[in-house]
Amino acid sequence: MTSSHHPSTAVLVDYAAGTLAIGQVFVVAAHLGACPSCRADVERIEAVGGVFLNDLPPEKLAPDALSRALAQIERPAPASTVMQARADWITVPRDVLEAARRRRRWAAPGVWVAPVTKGPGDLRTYLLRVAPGMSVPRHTHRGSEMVCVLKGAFVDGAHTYARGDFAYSDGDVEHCPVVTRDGECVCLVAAQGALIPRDWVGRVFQPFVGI
Amino acid sequence: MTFRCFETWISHLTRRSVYVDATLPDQSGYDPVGRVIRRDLGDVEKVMYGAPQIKSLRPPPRSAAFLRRDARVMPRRTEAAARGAAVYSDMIVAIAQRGDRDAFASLFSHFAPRVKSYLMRMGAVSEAAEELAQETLLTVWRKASVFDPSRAAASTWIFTIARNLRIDLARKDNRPIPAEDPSVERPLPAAPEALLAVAQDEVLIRRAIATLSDDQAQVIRLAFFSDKPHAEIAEDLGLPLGTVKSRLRLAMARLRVRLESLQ
Ligand SMILES: [Zn+2]
Repeated sequence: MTSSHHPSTAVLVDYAAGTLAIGQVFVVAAHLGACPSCRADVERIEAVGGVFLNDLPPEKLAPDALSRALAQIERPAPASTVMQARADWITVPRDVLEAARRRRRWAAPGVWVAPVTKGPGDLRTYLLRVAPGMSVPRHTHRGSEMVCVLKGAFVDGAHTYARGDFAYSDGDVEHCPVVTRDGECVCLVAAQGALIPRDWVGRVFQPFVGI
Repeated sequence: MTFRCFETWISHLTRRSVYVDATLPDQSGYDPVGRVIRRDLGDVEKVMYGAPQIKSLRPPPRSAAFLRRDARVMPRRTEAAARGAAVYSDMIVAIAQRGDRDAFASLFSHFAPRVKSYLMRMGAVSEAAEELAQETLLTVWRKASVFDPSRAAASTWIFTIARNLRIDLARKDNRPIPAEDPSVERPLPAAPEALLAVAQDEVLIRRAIATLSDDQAQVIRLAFFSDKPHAEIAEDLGLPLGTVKSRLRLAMARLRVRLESLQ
């Protein structure tokens, strides 16, 4: 895990440019909701995107493009929900709350998971709830993993990740995060590839999680 | 505490309450969980996960040589041209205040061809790009009242709308969601006012961009126009990932300093 507790600039640039997978967008968006300084960075990068857009050579439109648009402008806007909150979590994208309500399942004693989105490729985005004081079995990942803490906190090695913090790890990191004793921990996770358990607890645990 | 700030910020952004406490029954009358979840769970899994992959937006990937050339030839416009940019903000305000169709027409004529150009650079075919450019400008009309000229330049705002619509479309290609499902609107937080008093001024942003080294400007341009995350950009350029990351980090540091020192 990186210790900064924030996404790297490179991840923020990918977010602002729109090249992250939607599941990763959810994780970064959850962090941005809790982190004014990353939000400011993203908005600066978006401002650069706006300047680039303005400088592009214009592409020819269909002759009736404007009249078509004018004919449609009174059409009502679709409902907007943007971000949503529940009392005990940081604010999250609506799809995440929806997953928590509808697709939550117990994976092991003290642990529930709720898939949020799947893909592209082997990217899985899911909510993971772990009971106070419990540890996630020692494991590594086949690919990168982005995590945002929505509630509670966990300790990974020398670092504590609390509500709103962002953690990133790539495939070669082996770890066993431990939830602090003062309360349950709910994380939003976007991970590439399956977890690879590193001890027998993990091997027992894995099929239950079945993410 | 952060949550309180964020709440203020987001309601400012949308000018409506978007909050639903999932632990309480919904009292607003609006079904916060939308259309999809009224189906049974099996259906949801099918809708969410079982969809065939459609790749309508993506022609074959372009070569690294093309990307390098593309990054170089992107014209830099003069500051004088940028000074005209405030006019576009005024047009959006005119749309918000009095449904000004002439302002919309001017805004459309300037931005729709550029949004189309952007989307084609990001891999959309001409027809799809034109559709999405239409949708982008229609969204500008509908959401004009949300635009705050003291927070963002018109070009920034329109860029984020086009970007979000593009991601929504790619997402629908991935796993179809009924078109009327309100959740297709993508949530994207933006910065709090206090930290960003300057980003609404395109002239200042241009000056900040001009202080970037060519290497730094190149990776940022590629990030915006190659439809690839930074890891793949590094591959295309034949650069170590660490080099691209550090260029982006240095570029960001410079933008931060330039935009803050100008406040
Ligand atoms: Zn942050």
